[in-house]
Amino acid sequence: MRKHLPVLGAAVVAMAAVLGAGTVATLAADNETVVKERQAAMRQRSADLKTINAYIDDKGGDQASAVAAAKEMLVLEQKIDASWLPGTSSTDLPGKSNAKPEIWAEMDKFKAMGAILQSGQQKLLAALEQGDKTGAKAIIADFGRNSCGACHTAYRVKAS
Amino acid sequence: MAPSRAIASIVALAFLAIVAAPTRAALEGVPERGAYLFAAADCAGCHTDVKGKGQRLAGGRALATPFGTFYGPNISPDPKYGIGRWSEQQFHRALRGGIGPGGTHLFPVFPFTSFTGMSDQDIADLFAYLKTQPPIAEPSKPHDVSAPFGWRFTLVFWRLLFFEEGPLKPDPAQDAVWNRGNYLANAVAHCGECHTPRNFLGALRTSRAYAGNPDGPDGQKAPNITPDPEKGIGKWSLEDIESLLATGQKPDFDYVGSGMGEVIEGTRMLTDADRHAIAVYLKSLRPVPGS
Repeated sequence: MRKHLPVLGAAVVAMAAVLGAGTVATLAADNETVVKERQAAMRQRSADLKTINAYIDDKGGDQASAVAAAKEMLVLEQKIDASWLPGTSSTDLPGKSNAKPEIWAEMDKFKAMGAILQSGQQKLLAALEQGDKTGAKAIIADFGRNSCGACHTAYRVKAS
Repeated sequence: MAPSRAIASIVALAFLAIVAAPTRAALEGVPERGAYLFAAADCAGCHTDVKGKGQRLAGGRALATPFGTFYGPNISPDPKYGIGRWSEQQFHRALRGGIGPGGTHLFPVFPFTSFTGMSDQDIADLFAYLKTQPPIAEPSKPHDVSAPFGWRFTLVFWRLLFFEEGPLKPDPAQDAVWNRGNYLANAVAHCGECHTPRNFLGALRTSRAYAGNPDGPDGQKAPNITPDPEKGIGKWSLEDIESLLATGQKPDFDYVGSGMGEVIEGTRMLTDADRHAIAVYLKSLRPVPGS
C-alpha cells in the first residue's frame, strides 16, 4: 500500500492543479461577464435618462414612460453597485474594463459619489411622478455633474 | 562657416531676438474677467495636482506625453516658488511668446502656441486674477523628460519650424459669433492641443486639425471633434455640443470623464453665448474622417 502513496499523491496534486487552473480561468471569465453586464447596465441607464429627458424637454416623451425609466434606473443602480468586485478593474482586464483601479483603493470616496446618484435618482422618480419637469431637470443636472461626470472623470479610463 | 558655428549663430540671434524684445507698458487687468478666462482655459487642470491632493495652483500635476512626463509648475503668486515676482510684461511674454523670465524657453506642453492668440487685455486680466489668489510656497517639480526633448536650446529650432507668434486675427468673412468661437476654441480653451494629432516632434498636424489624437495626454485617446458624421460630431446638433460643454452629458446620455471631465469643470462656467459660439465654430470645421 505504501508504495502506491507517492503515485496517489502525485495524482492528487495533478488533479488539484488542473482544478485550480480551471477555477482561475472560470473566475476570469466570470469577471469578464461581470464587466460586460455592468457596462450593459450603464448603457441602459443612459437610455433611461434619454427617455426621461424626452419627457421633461417636451421632445415627444410621456410621463408614464419617464416614471418607468426612473424606476428601472433604481433597479440598475443596485445591479451596478454590486458589480464592483475585485478583479474587474482596467488593470485586471485591460481593454475590457474601463474601471480604474483607484475605485478599489478609494472605495469610500467612490461609494460617496454613488450615494449622491442613489438619492438623486430617488428624488428624480418623485419629481417625475408629480409631473415636475423643472425639478426633474435640476435634479439630473445636479447628479449628472456631481456623480456621473465626477465619477467618470476620476475613475473611468477613456474608452477608445 | 563650419556648421557648428552656423548653428551657434542662429542660436545667438534667436537669443538676442528674445532678450531684445521690445518692452511695452504694463496693462491694468480686471481680476473678475481673468477668473472667467482662467476657467475657460482650464489652467487649474495642469497647474493643480488634484489627484495628489495638492494645493490650488501649486502645480505638480503629472502630464505623461510621448516625450516624457511634464509637471505643471506653481503659478500661484508666491514670490519664491510661483509667479509672485513676475511683471505683467513677463507674464505676457510667457503667454504670447513662450518665453519665461530671463529668456527661458518654455516647453510647448505649456500651450503658448495657442495662448499666443489671446488679446493683450485678456492676458492682463488673467494675470490680474492670478495675483489675487493665495500664494503657495511649494517648489515646482522638475520635468522628467529624456534627451533630446528635455534640452531647452532645441526649442529654438522647434519654434522656428512650428511657432507663429501673435494675436488671433478675426476673419472678416465670418460673423461675430463664429469669430468668438474661433478665439475661445483656439486661443483660450486650446481644444486642439488635445484633439489635434501631433507629428514626431510634438507639433500639431494642422492638416488634421481637431480630427482626434490617438496619443493624447496621459496616453488617452482624444476623439475626433470635426463634423465628420461617422468618427466626429457630424450628427450632433449645436444644442448637443452646448449641453456637453455645460454638463458633460453626451447625446447618448453618457457623461464624459477623464481629461474632458476636467475641461467641463471650466466650460460649465462659461456663458451660454460663449458655449454657443464654440459649438458654431466646431460645426463649421471641415469634416475630417478617421481617428
